[in-house]
Amino acid sequence: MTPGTAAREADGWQPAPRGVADLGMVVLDRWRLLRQADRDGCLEAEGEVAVRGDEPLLQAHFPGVPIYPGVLMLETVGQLAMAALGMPVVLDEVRSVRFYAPVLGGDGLRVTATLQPEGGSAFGVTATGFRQDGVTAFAVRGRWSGGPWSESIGHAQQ
Amino acid sequence: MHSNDITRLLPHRPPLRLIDEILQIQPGHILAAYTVGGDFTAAPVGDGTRGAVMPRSLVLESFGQCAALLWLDGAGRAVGDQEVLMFAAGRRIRFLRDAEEGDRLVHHAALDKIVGTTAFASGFTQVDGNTIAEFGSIIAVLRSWNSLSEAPNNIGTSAVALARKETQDDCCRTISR
Repeated sequence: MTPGTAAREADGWQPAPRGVADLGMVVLDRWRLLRQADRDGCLEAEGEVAVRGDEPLLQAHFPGVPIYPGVLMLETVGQLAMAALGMPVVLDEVRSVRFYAPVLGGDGLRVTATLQPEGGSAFGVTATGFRQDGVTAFAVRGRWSGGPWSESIGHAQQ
Repeated sequence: MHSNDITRLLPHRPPLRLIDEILQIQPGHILAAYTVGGDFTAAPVGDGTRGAVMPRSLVLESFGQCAALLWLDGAGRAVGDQEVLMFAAGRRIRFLRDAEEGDRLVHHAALDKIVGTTAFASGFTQVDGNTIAEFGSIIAVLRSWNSLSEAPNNIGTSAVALARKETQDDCCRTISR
């Protein structure tokens, strides 16, 4: 095992699972748990994606100026939640979302998210995305739902 | 409005052009449709008895493009060669049901106000007369290509400020309950 590999594992990063949505492009490359579920059931995770720019969706949005669509940033958040909880999730509500700076082809995007149970299979997410230059790209508060939270917490604590 | 008009007005190209027909358009209101194809799929979350569905984020994208068409048609112009049309903010967006392949999304969008190069819209989406999504507020901006490389908050400080004010108003209403 090389030192680089050991450091990577120690940092907790792991490849993102295959997304529930088939968008023809990767919207989450890797992720890690920052804070395991506490007494209130909240957990915190972060993920990263490298936006190439030559993906068909980026070429379509827009020709000559590939811009990572804002709605795909929501997908990135959802897939980060799915990775952290270990089960498929679906977007139920966007309470508020603001896009501050564009993420262009060639940029990297890092997302940090806090997940909090809201009863049943629903959980609230507060997430912020940052470009690789540190500029805030977006901030979102929303509600997703998936499997029973108790099962999700069990996965997040492994 | 013909499909050629959609191509002329909207900068989005396949596979991310998610409006295929304008059903009705008048000042301030539009009905537009999109038939869910197989370009994108999402596994439904649930008991596994349903087939693939359209990702809800793309239902939002489709509605946004509908609202953009209303804005641009009303302004009598398309997105310029040196401009980009961008989703700036959104609030109170709810997804009630999924849309499956073959479903016909019918978006009902209203243009609530325009402030410079920022537009505010709202509405809902139906499939077979049933509402599957609601959009409380969608904000889009037109920006120049050159501005994309500027300092932070270059999506539009005015759009962000307007969105922040609306969010603060919501927070005050929440606290006062």
